[in-house]
Amino acid sequence: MASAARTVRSRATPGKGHPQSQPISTRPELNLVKGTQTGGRAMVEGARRVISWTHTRGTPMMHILVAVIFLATSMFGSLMLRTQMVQNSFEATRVQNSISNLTQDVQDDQNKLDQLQASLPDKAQELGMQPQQGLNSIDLQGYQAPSSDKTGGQH
Amino acid sequence: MSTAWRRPFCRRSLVVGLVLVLTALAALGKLAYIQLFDGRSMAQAASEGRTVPHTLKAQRGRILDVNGRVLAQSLERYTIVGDPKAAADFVPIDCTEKTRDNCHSIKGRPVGADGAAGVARLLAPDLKMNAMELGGKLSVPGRYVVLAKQVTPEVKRSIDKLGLAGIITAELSSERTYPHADLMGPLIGGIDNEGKGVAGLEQTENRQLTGKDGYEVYQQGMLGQQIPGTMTKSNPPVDGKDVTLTIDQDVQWYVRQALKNGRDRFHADWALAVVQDTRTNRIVALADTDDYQAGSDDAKIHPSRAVAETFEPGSIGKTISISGMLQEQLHTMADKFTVPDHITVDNQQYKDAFDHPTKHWTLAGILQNSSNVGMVMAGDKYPDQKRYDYLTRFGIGQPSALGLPGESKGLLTTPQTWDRRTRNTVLFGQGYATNAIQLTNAIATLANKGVRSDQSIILNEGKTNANQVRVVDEKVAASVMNGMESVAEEYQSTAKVDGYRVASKTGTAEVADGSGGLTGIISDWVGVIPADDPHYVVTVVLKNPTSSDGVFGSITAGPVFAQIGEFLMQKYRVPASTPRTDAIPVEW
Repeated sequence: MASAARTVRSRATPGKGHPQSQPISTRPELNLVKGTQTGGRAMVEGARRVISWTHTRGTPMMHILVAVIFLATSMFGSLMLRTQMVQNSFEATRVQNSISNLTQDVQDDQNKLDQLQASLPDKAQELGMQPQQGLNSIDLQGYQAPSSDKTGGQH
Repeated sequence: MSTAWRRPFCRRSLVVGLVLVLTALAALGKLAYIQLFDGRSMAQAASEGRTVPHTLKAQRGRILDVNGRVLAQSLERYTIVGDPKAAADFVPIDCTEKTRDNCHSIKGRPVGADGAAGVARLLAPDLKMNAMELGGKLSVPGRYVVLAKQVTPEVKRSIDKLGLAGIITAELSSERTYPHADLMGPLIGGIDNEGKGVAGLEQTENRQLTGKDGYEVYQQGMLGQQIPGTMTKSNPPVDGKDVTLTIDQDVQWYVRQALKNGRDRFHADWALAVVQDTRTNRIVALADTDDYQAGSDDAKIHPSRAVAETFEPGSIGKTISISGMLQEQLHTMADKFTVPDHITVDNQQYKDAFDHPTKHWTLAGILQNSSNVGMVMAGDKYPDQKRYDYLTRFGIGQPSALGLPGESKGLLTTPQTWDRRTRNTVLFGQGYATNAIQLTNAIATLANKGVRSDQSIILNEGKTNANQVRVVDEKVAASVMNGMESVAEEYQSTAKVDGYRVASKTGTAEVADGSGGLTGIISDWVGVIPADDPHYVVTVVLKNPTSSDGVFGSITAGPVFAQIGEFLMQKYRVPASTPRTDAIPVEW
């Protein structure tokens, strides 16, 4: 059924549905060339083709090379940085722990110091020390300060 | 013959090969499915597994004295938690050359036990606990058991080195420490298990002291380290603010010693004292003889006596009555009275504390000799409403600005409720109740030339003398201070401070004891030192003192005041007083 219908259409538009019935084209076209070479020679050939392709473009070979090197370097750099970051992360964690340990130590030591300071008055009392008592004062009423020219000559 | 075995072998090989290929295809298919279709959700699940919110604990603020000495502070501590299930599976690794870095031993010896017992043996020395007890704690069903609280970081670090990761973990907590815990335990108060202030200044200043925890959300590696660039959210912790008190730890300590000596010397039940700087109205010391440790349950239950104990001020109240009379221009300090030792008014008899012949005293003399009869005579034309008004204006029966927990505002009823006797007893400090804080500020009002200001116990820079109210004129305040100086001169033998003039008033009042009867005695003394340039007001109160010379405030509380006054003058290097030249006559 389907083939009959196609036949009908093909007749209506000859040369479209049946390319095999068309005459062989004389235009240049890409054909699959079966490789006769193997291994390194194929690679060399491939590279040569890439180089020759680059010559067909407006971009010189050097630019491509620079771009590729740049890309590779960037990727490698990125990898290195990432590795470094991971290393630093470990280092940062270690330093952070160290800081918090030291902070804790400082806190504890400060607390010990505070407690010792707080116990000072009691200890002083146990040793029999007494706060200063009584009053010793000098009454400066009526005292005249020596004049400036006299003080200059006093030695 | 030679080819007959090849066929089944090839067939088998083919089957095995096919199975392997199918397996590989299945794995490849699964891989492709995960990568192409399920990749995102898998990656998300993985990163969610690694992403853990980390709480960053905020530290509670410190409480400092006026010189920056620490009265309360928080320290990082750990709660040691055990996993009984993991502990049961514990098998110690003996220490050999190969396992040197990851082995278990107790002081170089093998652990000698598996499971919870082994863990307990390893852990016990660091926690200073009994290994049997610890083993018992770890031998329960479940995966979480608290083994020890408030463990110091030092101990936690030594536990970390035991190689018990996965069995024993440490949770960060904090401990509130009070370096001088007994100095003013109830005043400082304490915090509950959640770190919230529940008593004393820890409670009133809780908002200021409490910080805000922060957090970090990031992906972590196996060792708990942050994977770089994975932090999605973070909020730094905000530590609580420090609270600086106006209390001077040195003065507080000395006042407490003086009170304890006074209590022991006069066999009193308790003693308390308030020291207030008259120039700033800051409380320098608020001490009593209680030994409750800050942070303890006792300190949380018992409020500071200086704010909680109420009592009749006794004759100290005369200063307020006389101030009112002078302000209302009913009398001057030099007005002359002929004062017997007892008087009957409205069928109510009033007596002086001691028998004496009829005396020719001025109003200053009545104050000096603390004559109840003289006060009733002088108050003849002093209306009841004014008696009440002046007591109120001086702050009696009014809550103080300190707002300390447990503070009692005393008891001052309105004049309409006063009976015939009470209306006259209020003239000499009986029939109403006050506390040491109110009494101190009432006398500080006179020292401050008649202006009453809010007291403060929290150092708040830039905010001094808030809410100033003029209660009496400057002249009136000066006259009453003059009279009070004459009182102090009367008691030179018991309460003299060498080199300094003192204006003071003493009081003794009967108070209700536990039984309800008036068997208790309150002896008190309020003094302004130096009288000619007021720096400090000191109030000393003793409950039930006994002495061979009597229980009067002048004999018991007076010497304690003198001791404190002398210390204050020495410590703060207050210039010595100039001689007194303007004394108002006390007799005529």
